[in-house]
Amino acid sequence: MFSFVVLDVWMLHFITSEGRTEEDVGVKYANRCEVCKVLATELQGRLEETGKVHDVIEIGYSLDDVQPKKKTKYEKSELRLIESLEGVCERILEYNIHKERQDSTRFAKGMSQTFKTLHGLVDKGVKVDLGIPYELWDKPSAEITHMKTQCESLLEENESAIEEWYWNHQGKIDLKNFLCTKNALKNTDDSCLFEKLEPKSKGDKGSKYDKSEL
Amino acid sequence: MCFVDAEAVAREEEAISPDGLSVAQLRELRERAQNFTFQTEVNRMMKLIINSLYRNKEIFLRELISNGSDALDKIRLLSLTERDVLDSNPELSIRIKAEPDKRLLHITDSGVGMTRHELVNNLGTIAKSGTADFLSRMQDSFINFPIYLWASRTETVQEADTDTDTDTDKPDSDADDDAQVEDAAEEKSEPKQTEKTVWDWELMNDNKPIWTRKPSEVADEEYAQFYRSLTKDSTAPLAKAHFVAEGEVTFRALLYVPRVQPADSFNRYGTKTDHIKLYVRRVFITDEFNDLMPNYLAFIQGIVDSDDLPLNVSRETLQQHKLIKIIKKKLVRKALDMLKKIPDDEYEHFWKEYSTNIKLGVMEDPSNRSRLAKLLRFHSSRAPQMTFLAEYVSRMKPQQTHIYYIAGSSRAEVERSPFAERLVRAGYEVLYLTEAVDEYCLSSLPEYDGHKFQNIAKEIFDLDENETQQSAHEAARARLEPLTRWLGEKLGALVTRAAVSRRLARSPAALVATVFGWTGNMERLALSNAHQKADDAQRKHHLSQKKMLEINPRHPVILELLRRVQEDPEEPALLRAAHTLYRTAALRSGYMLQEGQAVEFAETVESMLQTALGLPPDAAPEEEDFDLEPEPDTDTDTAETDAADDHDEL
Repeated sequence: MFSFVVLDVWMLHFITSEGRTEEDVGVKYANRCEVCKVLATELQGRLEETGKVHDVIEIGYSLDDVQPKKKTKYEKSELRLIESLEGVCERILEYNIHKERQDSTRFAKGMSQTFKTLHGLVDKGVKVDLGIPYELWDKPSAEITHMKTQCESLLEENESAIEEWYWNHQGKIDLKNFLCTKNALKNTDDSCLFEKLEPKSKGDKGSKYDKSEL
Repeated sequence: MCFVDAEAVAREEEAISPDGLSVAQLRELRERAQNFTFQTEVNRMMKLIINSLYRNKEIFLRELISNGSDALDKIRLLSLTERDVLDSNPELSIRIKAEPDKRLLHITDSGVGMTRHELVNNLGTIAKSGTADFLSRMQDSFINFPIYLWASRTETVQEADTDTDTDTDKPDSDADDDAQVEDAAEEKSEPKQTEKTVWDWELMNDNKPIWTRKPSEVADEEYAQFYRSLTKDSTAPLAKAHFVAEGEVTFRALLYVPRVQPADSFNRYGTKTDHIKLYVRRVFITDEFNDLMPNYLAFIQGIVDSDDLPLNVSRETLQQHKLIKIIKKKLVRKALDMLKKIPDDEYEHFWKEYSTNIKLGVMEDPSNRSRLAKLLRFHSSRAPQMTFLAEYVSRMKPQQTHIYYIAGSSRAEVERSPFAERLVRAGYEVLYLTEAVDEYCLSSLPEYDGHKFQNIAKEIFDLDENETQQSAHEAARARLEPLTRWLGEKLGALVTRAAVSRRLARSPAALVATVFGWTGNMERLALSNAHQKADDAQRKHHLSQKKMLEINPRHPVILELLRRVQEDPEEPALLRAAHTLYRTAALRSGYMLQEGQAVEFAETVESMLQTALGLPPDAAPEEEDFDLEPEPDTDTDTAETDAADDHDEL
């Protein structure tokens, strides 16, 4: 019943060459374009959530209604910007690296095809050795935790650009275009911004497999 | 005061003690007093307000004091046009007196409240303060009036030998008379100390609100004095910042960095509230906030004052008030600016006191990580003094792309680290990380000024070499291939592989961590951390990771091993040498020898010691004669055997 499969997904690198960069050991960190793309996507998502709030912020001494209170719509407030930026890079930890893809779409939410298959095997009772303890399988990988850090740095660097967009261009210019193409990636390659996930065709094989298992 | 109910006025006539008011003032008060009663609905409404809006009683008290302050503002402004309003009492103050036995609390101000007309007009409006109305037309700067509390303090009095009649020279000591006389009766002849209680008006708010003034108009001495009264710290602060932040929420703030941080600060890290006092419209709200400064900046002392926050809402509600977020963000930025501006000669001192705070900030506050990185200082191979990262970058070699660093327990240790040998010799600067928090800190900092960091105790190592150097290295790799292959096989249980090093100069070999593995320094810290889960999968995984063995292609021991491996790879002495090489490499590289390897290593060295001393290699300690000892008890003997048997069965 118990078969023993050693699937060397992580440890594919049988290093014979020198480890000069992380890529030499099979770790391909996100490039700047990929980081900016994910940040812009997530920030846009946060803004859409916070944009639904129709509160009015009343500022001032609240019991004496003598001086008119300053009233600001939350939707157009500094507070909304701060709350949208808060923890935006944390959301990257929900991403997984999908090693079956090569371009920027390899960073996506949800479990990768490879890991779905592996978990399917484990559930079946197959012993799978990835060289790391089973408890750590679903922990964010090095690429993902590093991308969170990269996102935070990019955000800190481009905070004024985001503010500029928020106050003056919101609703007129696409955030991805303003933040990435015009600022963070100025005069560098921004082609990753236009990469889209191909519609699933052969990827369905995996989900069929899952169904048959369950 | 704004509201006076009928019964209260009756009580007040006898209740207000003359201590607070002069006869003239009392007379004036009584002559002008008129009684009005709240309508029932209003009374009920007041209860509702007290129970809902004022959730804690202290806020109610604060509101009364604030009303008093409003009344004083009004009389002060009136006095500008009507000189005589201050004639009966030129002092503008608020006095608070508690009478616990009568269950009364008096808050007396010497200002004017509402006129009869205003009172009748405004009474129906809940919490309407006529003064606010009045002031809203005046757009004026505020004065903080003195607030006095009728307070007791205990004084210790040294009594003279024979003087039994101490009361005469201390007239206000009536409270403790009885106790004193009793004491005196007991021990008449001896000099003694007596505690007595003295009552007096005590000034509660000796802090002048200097933050409301323009920074250019506040003298250094005033800042220093304010700091002293705020913190009770007698040494001058290390730095200060005084500013107005404008935007959705406008606030003024005055921040200080104390010269000394208490040694136990980090034992309380994250549990202690910050040291920022929050004021709303110059009324003190709370100093029990934890929301104005992040943990790592909890050492900063100061005040924040905003007109834009609600004054009358309870502390809990305010704590959740979202506007606090805006204040916090700006406050942190300004605090970091203040630290950045500390002059070089003071920075040394700042760094000694607060380096750990800044490093924790790098790890905990990603939104300010690069700002914090500019404050970091580390030891370096270049000089005995510490260096900023910006200074390191300015000294980088033309082709150098990385910032190199090595971590260990002390400067003496990392200075002799095998990993830094060749780099330092080749003129590269290496940062020496010697504090426990350092390696964690830099691993959460991806780069500085576009330059990536490289932990030189790890496998990933990129050294910019010219073509000659590179081809020399390739040649060495080919030449030593038989040895690296042999070491990889023979030490396969201990290391991932063996490789020719590009970082060793003096040492024959070193152990390097894998990309995501722990360095010797990290292992040491992880093993010695008392606060951890015993069976943590991640930690176990890290600790069981094999390392890579790097060998120095120019070292005589390595060259000799190569010669012998090519001659007879199965020679037993060669295998022993390989193990010893691995263990010395581990020690040099900062690792601990685990799983009994330390003992094996000691035995090997001892056997070498015997050889070096000219003793036979199999020389053993003299046998000791245990027969001289008294016979062991037979009972325990059998018991032991039984235990052993039981154990076997299990």
